[in-house]
Amino acid sequence: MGREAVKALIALLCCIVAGCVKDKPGTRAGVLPNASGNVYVVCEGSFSAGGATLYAYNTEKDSVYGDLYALANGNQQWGDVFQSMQRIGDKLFLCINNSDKVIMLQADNWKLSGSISIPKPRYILPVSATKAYVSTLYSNKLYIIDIQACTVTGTIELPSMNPEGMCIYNNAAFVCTWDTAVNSIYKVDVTGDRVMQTIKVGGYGPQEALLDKEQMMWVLSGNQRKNRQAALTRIDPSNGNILTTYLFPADADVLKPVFNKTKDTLYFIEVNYNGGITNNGVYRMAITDADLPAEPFLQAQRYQYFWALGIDPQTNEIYVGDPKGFVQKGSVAVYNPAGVQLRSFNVGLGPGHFYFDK
Amino acid sequence: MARGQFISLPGLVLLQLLLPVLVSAQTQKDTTLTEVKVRGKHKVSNDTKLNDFSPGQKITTIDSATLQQYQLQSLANVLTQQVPVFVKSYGFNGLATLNFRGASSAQSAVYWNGVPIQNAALGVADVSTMPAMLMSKVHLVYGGSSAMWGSGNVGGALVVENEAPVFDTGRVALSVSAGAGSFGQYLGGLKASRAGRRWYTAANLFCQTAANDFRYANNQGAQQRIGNSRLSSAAGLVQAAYKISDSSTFTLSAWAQTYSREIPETLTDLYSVKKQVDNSVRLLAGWEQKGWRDNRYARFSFIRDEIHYRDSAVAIRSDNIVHQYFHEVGWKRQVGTRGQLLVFSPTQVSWLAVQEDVKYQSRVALAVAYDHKLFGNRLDIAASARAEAINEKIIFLPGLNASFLITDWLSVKANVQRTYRAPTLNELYYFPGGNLGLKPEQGWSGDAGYVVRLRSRHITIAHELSVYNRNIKDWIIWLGNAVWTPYNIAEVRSRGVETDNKLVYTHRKWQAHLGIATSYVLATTVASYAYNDGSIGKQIPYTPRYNARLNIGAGYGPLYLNYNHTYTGYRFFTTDESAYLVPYQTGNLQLMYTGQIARHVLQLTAQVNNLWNERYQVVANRPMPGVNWLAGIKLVF
Repeated sequence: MGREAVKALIALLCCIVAGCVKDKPGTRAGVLPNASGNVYVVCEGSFSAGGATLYAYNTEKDSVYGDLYALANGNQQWGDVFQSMQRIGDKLFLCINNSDKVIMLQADNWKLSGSISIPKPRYILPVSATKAYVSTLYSNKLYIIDIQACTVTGTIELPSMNPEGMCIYNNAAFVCTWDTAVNSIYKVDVTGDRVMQTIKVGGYGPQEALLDKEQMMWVLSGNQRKNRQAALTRIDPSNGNILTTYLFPADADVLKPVFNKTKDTLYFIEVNYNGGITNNGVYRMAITDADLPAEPFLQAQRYQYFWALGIDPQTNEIYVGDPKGFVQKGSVAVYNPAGVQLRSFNVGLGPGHFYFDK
Repeated sequence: MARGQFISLPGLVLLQLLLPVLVSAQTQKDTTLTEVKVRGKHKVSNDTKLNDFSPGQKITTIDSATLQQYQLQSLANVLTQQVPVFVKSYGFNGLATLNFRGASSAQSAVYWNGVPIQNAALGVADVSTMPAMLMSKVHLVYGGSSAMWGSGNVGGALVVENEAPVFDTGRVALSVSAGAGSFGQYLGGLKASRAGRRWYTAANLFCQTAANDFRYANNQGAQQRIGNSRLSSAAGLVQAAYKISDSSTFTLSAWAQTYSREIPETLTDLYSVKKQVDNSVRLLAGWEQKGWRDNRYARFSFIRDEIHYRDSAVAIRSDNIVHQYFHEVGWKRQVGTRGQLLVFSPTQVSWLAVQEDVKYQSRVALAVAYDHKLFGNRLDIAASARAEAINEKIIFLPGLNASFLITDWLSVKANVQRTYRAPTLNELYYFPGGNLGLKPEQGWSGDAGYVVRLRSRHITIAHELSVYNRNIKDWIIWLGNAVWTPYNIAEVRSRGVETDNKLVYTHRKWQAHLGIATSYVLATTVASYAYNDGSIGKQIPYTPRYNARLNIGAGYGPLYLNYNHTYTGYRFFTTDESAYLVPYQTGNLQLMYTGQIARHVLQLTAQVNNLWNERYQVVANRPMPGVNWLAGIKLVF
């Protein structure tokens, strides 16, 4: 028994210490970019699991930097979902949607300079030298913030839920509410902070509004998962008249519209969540086109969809973000207007927007 | 039966079937019989599939003393501290699911008295809602065994059982338990049973309430008390059994529970108003007839699971109500003196309401298993095959496992199975996000190992080592952000080594023990359908490569002391290993005293968890509590 016990114990100890693969992952290191020439990549993170990050592609150094917030602020995390960002003066305002806050960073060193607690913030629109509006999901409120004091100074109650994309035109803010029961946007007086006019659009669930080179407004609406067909409506913001309505196929999920440098071509993403390639890619159309594009400008592959789209206002280069399922690092590919890929690089979890701060 | 005991030939077969001890009879001279060595197997379970047709599978049973120690806690706590299976816990009040050998939680099955009890929509079972007090036996079956247990049993299974009914003793048992612990935990339980001549009745009741408002360090390093963390639950399990004849029994069990919890904020939330209520009703009727050479059984079950989730901050109001009907009929027959045949046919129908529609999934199977013993019972080999129709799709699931006793102290075992998991109702139909184009996960798994058991007068040593390999094609993973959708990724390979080691020393009233269990898992994506996928060659999320559990302690008469230490290695939470959680270790101390007051048994338990006050997260951004305690008292009348 004694010898057998020794044999067994030796075997036991061998097995306890057995191990094959180094468990510790490589450590992360990084440097910060220059304060100028940056294309910021808004990386959403993972819903309810954190991981939001800010990356930058520096066009002057042709290099990628990230995660800027953690590097500049002692490896702190800020939560999720990083929805959008906006430079106002010398600060970057970042909307962290699911973590219920807007945080401010110094634009030249990315140090945290403040935070405003706002439920489910989505987008920020500066409306004067001292004031900005913050749209919020799951409420009907537009928050008014003091840019210098970094405080909420009031709210504007809208007739419908989910204030979303906003656009300034002629001293008025045009606000979309991503409410599937609503096919209107609201014109808000930015001096008196009140709704002045309700403007009909050609689809339900308006999400985003932007101006073309003729100062006509394009409104994207729809919520495919809630059976609201996507639509683009071109309206004259001076009087609210609908000029053209483009209806997408019922199974197309359309998002992230942007204009090119000359604002005569509209680009947008269509997403197919089921792994197919139909209605999946980056599309574009001239503002004078009578119909929606039938074929994508950039086709997404099977089991791939795009989630971020931006166009460099100086170079006209097209930035496209692939979130790779939001479970691994996303990637960004950059194309020229002819569709030729110029470069690609990896970024953080879930690239969702680009912000050109050049 | 002790070693060396002498038996007669005519009783051999019966002894193999019935004796609940490891038997290794030594040869003795006799005037009428030749020398015989009898090797039986300890009946680990009430289920013949585990007892008689899984000789090559690794099965770990949580012993009754350990279960006693955890009587006021959930199975999640038992498994987290006692076995190197990764329990993915979202913290106090959060979901806790199992991860066997790198399998996902939906690939890890849970059975109650032979009935699958995973939520039929989600495909997972939340072990944090399963009170240990309700169960009398807990087994972990490692490795796939789809031929015996059906679709979904890929990585392994948790098998929980209630005491088999006993008759004729006339014994009435009653015990009352109560406990209190850190963070405003108050728990209570009652167990009662009566074994009459023809009727056996038993009831287990458990309830708890807790504030669970522990302090933790937020992302800025400041200490704060976690909010929205109240918990209350009540569970009851009643059994009634009727002895129809000496060979035939009818049983009826009902297990109902409600589990109401607030979901605390994560490290990235400012606050949380999330609430979840889980209600379950599980009914089981069984009939069993034991004959001289054959046994017959039938079991019928109905399960209703409700999950009501509310998050007013984001206007989420989700009611997930799923039903499951299950029945199984089986027939086992002794074939000659060395063989056993089992034929059984399970049927499972699940249905879920989705957007004013009802979605069904049905599984009907016919399975055959044959076990044969050779070379004086040294070789025990079992082959099984199952044809299963899942809705309109028919699959064939074969399996083969065996054990061989090389010497009295050394045995080897091996197990090869085809594995299969059909997409769950949620994966197919959940709105928004369900994917009707999902393919089933399928592949092969194999494992092999050896067991060393040595025993002397005072020392018992047990050492088990297993290696395994599993390839799964069309592995299902949920991708997305606010809206999640399941996809197939091409192939995942899991392989690893597990050891289980125990040393027990007993001398008079003294008993000392040392147990170390380790697990090494490499579960990596081999191929992907996705474009430019960064997960190739990377570890599957929330699958620690290294996992270890240590128990060391001693008992003297009525006193029992155990120190438990756990180590859990890096857990990646992205598929490309770009984000991870650091390893953590927890120390847990358990003390139990069993004595008598008048004619009643008094049991006192005390447990200190996370003794070294480790700051850790099992799941990203879900802080776990620091040092905390739980004390309990049990009086057996």
